[in-house]
Amino acid sequence: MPLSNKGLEMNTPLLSVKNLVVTYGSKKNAVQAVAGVSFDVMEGETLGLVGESGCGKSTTGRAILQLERASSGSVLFDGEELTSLSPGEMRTRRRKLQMLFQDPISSLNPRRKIKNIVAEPLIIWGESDEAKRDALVGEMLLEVGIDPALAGDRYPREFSGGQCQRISIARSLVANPRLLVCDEMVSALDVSVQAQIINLLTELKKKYNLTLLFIAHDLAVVKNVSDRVAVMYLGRLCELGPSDDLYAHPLHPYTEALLSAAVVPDPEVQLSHTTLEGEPPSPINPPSGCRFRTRCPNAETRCAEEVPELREVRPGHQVACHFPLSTTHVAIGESPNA
Amino acid sequence: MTNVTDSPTQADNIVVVENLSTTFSTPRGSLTAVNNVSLTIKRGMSLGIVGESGSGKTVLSRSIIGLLPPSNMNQTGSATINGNQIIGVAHKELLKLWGSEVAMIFQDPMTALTPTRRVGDQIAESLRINLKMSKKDAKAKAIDLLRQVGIPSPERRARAYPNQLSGGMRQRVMIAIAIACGPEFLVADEPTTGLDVTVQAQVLDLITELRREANLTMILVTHDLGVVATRTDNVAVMYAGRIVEQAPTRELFARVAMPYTKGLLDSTPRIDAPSHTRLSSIEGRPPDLVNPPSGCAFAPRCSFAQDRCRTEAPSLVASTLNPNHLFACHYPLNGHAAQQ
Amino acid sequence: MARYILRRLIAFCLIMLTISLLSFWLMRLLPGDPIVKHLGTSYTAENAKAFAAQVGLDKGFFAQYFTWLGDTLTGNLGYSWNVSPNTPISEILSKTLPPTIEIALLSQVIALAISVPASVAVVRRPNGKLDRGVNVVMLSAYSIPTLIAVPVLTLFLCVRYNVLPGPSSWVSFNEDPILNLRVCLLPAMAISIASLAGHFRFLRNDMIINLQEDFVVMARSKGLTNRRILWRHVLRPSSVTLLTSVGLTIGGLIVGIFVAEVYLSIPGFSTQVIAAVDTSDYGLLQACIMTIAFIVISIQLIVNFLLPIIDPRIARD
Repeated sequence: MPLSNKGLEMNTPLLSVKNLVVTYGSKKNAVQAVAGVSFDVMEGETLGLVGESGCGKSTTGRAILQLERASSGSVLFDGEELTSLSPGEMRTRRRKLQMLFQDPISSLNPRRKIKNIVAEPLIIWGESDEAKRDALVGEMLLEVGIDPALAGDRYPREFSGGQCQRISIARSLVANPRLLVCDEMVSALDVSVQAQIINLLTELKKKYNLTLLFIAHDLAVVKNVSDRVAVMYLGRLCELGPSDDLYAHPLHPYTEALLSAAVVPDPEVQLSHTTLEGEPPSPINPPSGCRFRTRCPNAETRCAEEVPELREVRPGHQVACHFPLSTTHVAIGESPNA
Repeated sequence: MTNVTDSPTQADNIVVVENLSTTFSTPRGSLTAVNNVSLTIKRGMSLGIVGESGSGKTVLSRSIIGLLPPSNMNQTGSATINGNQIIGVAHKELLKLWGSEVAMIFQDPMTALTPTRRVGDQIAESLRINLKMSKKDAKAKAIDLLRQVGIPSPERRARAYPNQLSGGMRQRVMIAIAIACGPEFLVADEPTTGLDVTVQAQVLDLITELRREANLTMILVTHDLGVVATRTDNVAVMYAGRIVEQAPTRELFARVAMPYTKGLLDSTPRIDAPSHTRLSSIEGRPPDLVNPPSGCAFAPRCSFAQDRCRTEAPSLVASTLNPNHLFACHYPLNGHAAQQ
Repeated sequence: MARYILRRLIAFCLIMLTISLLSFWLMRLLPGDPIVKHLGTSYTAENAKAFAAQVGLDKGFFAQYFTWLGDTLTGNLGYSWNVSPNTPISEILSKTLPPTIEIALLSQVIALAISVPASVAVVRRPNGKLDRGVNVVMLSAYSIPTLIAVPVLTLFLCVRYNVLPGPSSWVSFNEDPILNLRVCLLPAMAISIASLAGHFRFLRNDMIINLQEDFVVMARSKGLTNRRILWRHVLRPSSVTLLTSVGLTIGGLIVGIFVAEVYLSIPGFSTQVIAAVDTSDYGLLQACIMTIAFIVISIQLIVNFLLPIIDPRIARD
């Protein structure tokens, strides 16, 4: 796979999110978990969505699948507005948008056999030919590395976390979806299993021409799987750009702080260590202007008064900051290209 | 204590573990979670214990300080802290060590702090029991400790219940409890797993700083090789209840001897590697510790395994390249060879 | 906080109103005519008509209800017709409620005084010999009906060993507090037997669950004794189900207390309730039902208020 992002530009967006707002709670103490987020996911690309707990990344994923009601904004999937669909209409679209969760064991029905779990989407979508269903289920289980002859009649509890995640992948792929929303799907796994699942996902993505929205808190995992990465903080996007460019030249101070806090399994790699003070403020009462300003080392008056909009600073690389970091800034992972 | 001269380098071994095994009786049979482990830690040093879930790293760290509940458990071998035997001694003897000489930090501070007691009381309790402080002194010291671990407005926070604090602050409270009575040896079990990266960095910095101030010896149990790389002096890698490789941290990362350690490293995504770098994964699963395979426990998953690996279990030996680099492998990587 | 209390009070009033209306209606479905029972041998058609007019039984259902509601809200509970004719109901209640409440509370104090230490003792070794033994004892005790417990305890404690006063020794608290307590002790013990097993089970199970938590290992690593860990760290987070169970139990004690009151000739409240049902004494019965409802709902309110104080993880709404 080429490491550059050329060739993606000619694609059209499969998913287009505009000014998405998700509000929790009643009018008086309403919390904007997602406060106006816009991004496109191109056909065939993987967009990583990264941020710390409570930043709204999972809510964004759920709102795209209409599992969470958006208070305002639009979610265009393949040219169709999803937010205005009735629940019944949405159900028929769900075949094309699937979600994968962090805890695969509890997201599989413990009382159903593996083959029935994987076949379920086919039944819902009206595949009545049982022989055809069985064949598809068997094919898909083999595809994820599970022997259908051995595993089909067993129950989820008899499998490890990694195997359950494979079964979840088989279940979501059997309906032949176009977009997969992966919410922390490898976070609970041990590294060796995590690598297996990441590799599997990469292969399947190529084979079935999938588009992925990959939500996770682990910066290294997100970088590895994503073509482009969006960074979220307190309900807003800070920065969005091609993976390698964003990690090498972060434009937003928050991205830089995140990257410098990350650890590398190599004692010889010295990361620039600029520790961020404190923890994110409560979304109940977010700071005015730029939401990161209370923890930002470069904050000025303008940051408190004016909300920074996401704007393109470098080709394909957007940032929501009044004073983006110098583009000559060199950070880790930078291969000195002339 | 053995007769070691009190040199400024303080090169005495505070923790000495010899042939320690911990076996649990389960309905399926006996499960050897820690299998014949020996190690030493010098005063003021930190040892990282890494491994995947079920490798025995948590059981080993708790065995060393005697913290495992005695029911359904059997231990053999020896572990001493500051010369005090831990294995097989009465609960009363352990009570003298816990809290005052030995302390522990847990992974999830939400479940590791008593939910129904104010955090200030939980710190003060340790001071009152172990240092026999008065109620008033203990309360003042607790607030001091909260300030020392970087909690803003400690007087107010001391009266909070754990669920009223953020994850990072709860972890700081737990650290305050651990260091309250000035222990010499700290076991930190996944102290930053579940915390966000920026908070993880803060907590690790805090632990490092407190350790330096008090010359605290530490075992850092983690699954994260990145945390180990920057925060420990030595690393022990565990697999299936055994230490399979042990070395000074820089030495280990520079010259891995065990195929399993290499597998772990190669399957870890790195932020300094280009996007879409293919990760090499370790196929298969760790062995069932009730029915462990004969020979090397990693052999069924090892791409370097040969017939000898499946029949003869390798023992932990020193490398010819560096006598402090130990490995348990018949066919080590990177030019390592067993010292005769 | 003020809003929380206000909301709870409004709910409280609505529940009380609903209960009053329901009981007012259900009572009139009871077999037996209050007028016939009131007049007895002096029954004539005229007398009956006169009495009905006097107490308002000749009016429609809702007219009767709203008259009663107005009177009650202004503090006028009326007179008893049949149980103790022409005695003000307020006087009956103020005389008979104290012994019953005393017995009920005392029974819960006894039940807790036994079940809490018993739970703390057995959870050191769940399913060990002590645990299984105590479980058997508790279950056996649970299966003894109050109807048997009261006479058996009387036989042992009053007759054979003579440590407690026997039946018909009732004195009020004001006259002789010590004797009063000693009289209440026996029925309270008999009634506590039924609550014991439940309290013990709830607390024991919750403590065993909490003993698996990390905070217990943390407390051990602080160098605390097992005893301190159980009492100071595990007991409180494990008492949520127990407290709920105590709250629910108190409301259900009335039948057991009736048995004890009758057997020991204690002039208590539950005796009045049963007598009022028997004689279709509408006014008294309605007052008794409202009193029970008031107590039961108040206890629920108190329990709901206490739960977040006991365990701060429980949010108040």
